[in-house]
Amino acid sequence: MLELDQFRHVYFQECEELLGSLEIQLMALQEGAEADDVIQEAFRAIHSIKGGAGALQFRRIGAFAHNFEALFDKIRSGKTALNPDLLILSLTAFDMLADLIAAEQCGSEIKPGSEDHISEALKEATGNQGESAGEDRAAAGMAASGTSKPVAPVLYRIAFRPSPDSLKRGNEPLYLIRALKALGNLTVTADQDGLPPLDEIDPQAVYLAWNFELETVAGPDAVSEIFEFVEDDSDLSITTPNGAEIFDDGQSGVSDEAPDDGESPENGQAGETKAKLQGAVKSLENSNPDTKETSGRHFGATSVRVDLDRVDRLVNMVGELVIAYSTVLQHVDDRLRLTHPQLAHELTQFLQHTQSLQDSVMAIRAQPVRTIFARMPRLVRDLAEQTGKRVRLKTKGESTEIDKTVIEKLSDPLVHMIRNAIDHGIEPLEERQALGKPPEGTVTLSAEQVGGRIVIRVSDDGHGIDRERVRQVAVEKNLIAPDTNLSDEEIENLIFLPGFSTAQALSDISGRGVGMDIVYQNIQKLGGRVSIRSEPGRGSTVTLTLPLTLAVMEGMIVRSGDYVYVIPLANIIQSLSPRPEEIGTLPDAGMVLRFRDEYVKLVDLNDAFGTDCGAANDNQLIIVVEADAGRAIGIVVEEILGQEQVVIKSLDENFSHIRGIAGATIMGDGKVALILDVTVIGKLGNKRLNASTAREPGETKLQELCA
Amino acid sequence: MTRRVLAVDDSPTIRSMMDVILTEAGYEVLSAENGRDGLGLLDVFSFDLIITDLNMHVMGGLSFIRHIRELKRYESVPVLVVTTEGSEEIKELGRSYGATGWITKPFEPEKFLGAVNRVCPIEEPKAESG
Repeated sequence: MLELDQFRHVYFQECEELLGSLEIQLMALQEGAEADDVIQEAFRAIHSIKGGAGALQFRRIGAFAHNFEALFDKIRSGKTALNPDLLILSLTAFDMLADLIAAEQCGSEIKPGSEDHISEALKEATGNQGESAGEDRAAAGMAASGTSKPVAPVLYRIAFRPSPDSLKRGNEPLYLIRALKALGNLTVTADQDGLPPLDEIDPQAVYLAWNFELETVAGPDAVSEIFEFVEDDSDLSITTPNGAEIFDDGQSGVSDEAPDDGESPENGQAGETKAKLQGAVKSLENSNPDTKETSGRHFGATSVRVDLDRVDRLVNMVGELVIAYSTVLQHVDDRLRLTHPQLAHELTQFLQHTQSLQDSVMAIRAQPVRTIFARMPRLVRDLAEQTGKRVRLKTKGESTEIDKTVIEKLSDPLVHMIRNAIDHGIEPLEERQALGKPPEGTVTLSAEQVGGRIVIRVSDDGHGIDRERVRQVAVEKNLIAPDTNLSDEEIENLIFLPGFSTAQALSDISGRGVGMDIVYQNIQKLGGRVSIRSEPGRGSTVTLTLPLTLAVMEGMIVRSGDYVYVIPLANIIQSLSPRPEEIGTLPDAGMVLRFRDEYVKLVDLNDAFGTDCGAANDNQLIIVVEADAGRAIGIVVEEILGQEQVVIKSLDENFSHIRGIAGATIMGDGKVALILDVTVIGKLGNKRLNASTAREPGETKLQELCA
Repeated sequence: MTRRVLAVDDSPTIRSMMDVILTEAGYEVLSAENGRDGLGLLDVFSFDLIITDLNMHVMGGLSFIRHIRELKRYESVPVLVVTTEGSEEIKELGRSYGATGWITKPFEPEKFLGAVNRVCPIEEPKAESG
């Protein structure tokens, strides 16, 4: 028995792609696309989901997809016109289908019958109201199996004269006789009357006819099934002894028929059939985008499916290669260049190849942001419906590519930002009209690559941020002192401060702000930055700047005590060597640095990680970094070793989490450097991050790590 | 003599099912996800049977069959069409392009093998030995 479970994985993977494609098509239709190939593509996706579901006996998915498919079949054949209602129905059906698939995949339960009303609506739209659930099931591949077999053997008489050219089409009568024989006792009589004289014989033609007597317990279906492929163009009759005819092609027996029938289909009924066929061919050919090979839409056609784990391994190995290369490079000094110019030249080549190898490997994991952008139109539609506002979503730069690991983490923040733009940015309909704005608000989602980073913007044409109110809340929440002097931009960016959006009154603010700190933290975890700019009355723009990948990072390499750390370049504002008078002590903040007319809290890494070696150091350097939105801290280090692209390694696999450390990397000399999580360091300030007294259970001590 | 089958379908699920069913039955299976790739394989290998889906990207089943039949080597090699509906119209259409027979999706493994067996049985049956 075939083990169906083995195909689950490949099916759900296929479904993921098909649902993605289907959603894109539905969105395109919603945007007003009317191209046949969009509808055709949607049909194909549903069709394939249904096909796989049938094969794997996922009955609910199959039955539901069948109804969904029927609608698109009607639409693609032009029998039903797509209208806004049908589009909404399709989107609803899409959600349901995705839910059913997800439930099947996770083994979770969706209440039986919860898809029924959508199924009914689909059937109604298709005009298949009468179709019973039984037919659904049959269509979804739940054959009513087990036709009762007669216990006693039955004798069938079969007369069979294959079409003379049946061999030419690959139908070998001999195989059919063999299959008959497998059913029971078979007596074969060959009829050689049709044989022409030897010199007229066409070796590819069939001249023989046969009479069979088959004694079998197999049912009539099993017997006639043998002839399934040939019954239409051969002379065939199957009878049981009691005279019941279970198959007759109407051509009365076996003999006296010209052996070359079916060769001249040019006139009469045959001609009519041909015309009908041509029509059918045309419609099928239209649905078969054979001729569109050059169009830009090649979904899976030229791709290879590779397990992400393998790609990750490859990325890691290339990372190691880059490190190995820098190790080699450390041994290349000027003297070597002079004595071995050829070697130095080869090494330069090596560097170029290594870099392009790294780029190519990273490109494997890159995905267009379209994969997440495509989910947003539905979100916007739903939110607009909920809030009673009219909102249009514009997207730009969907084909911009980012590493898959970044894409995965980008989705939630984007949802959040768009939700905010609609909830708090776009004004209600009446208000917009009163202001003389177009009644329909616009949210624009765009992506572009700028240098080595990706910039994603969410803008709206709503009323912008109420700076006074934001400032007021920030003061109330003790986030800023009442007399703090802040620029407009700085005030706007206060909404990213942790704690800001927990304010009760926030949902009433006529600005935005709910949970923006969540956005900020997530983006920062990705090594990115968030900022907001707003123009009162005209709208706001939130800008995310992200690295292309999470696997490598530009960092500043610093030393403090015996440890080497990496500070993400994205966070660094400035590095400086302070004059003594610039450093002071504040009662509640400890050591501070006077930096651009502000006091910046200082964190000494030796103190923070409890790695103090006791030797006081006068030549302190301070790296000022942006820890939280707009809030800077100064990290005290002893030496700056350089700036490098580092390969990020997770520590959590081998060590339990260390507060303040985001990961590690291996340096050119083989030593481990720790990547700082400046957000956490900023929050904890001078408290010892890893002092033995404050250790959480299971937490690793830094010394253990680098010992 | 091993029988080699080319299975062409754009659904990875269906492809892998055909692959497993046929391989377990003793066939050697190569697969492709569209007609164009299928033609590429026909060029390089020789096949005793071709099974193809109809509705595919790049090159659909009907064009694929037409191309197959234009190749001298494959003039009379059996071609089975995999269809979902199994409507007479589709069957007739397939036949007019030169298909040998059809298999209706979703297929039960036994039925699938039954159809395959009728056009390309795995081996010459041994002479009756009583």
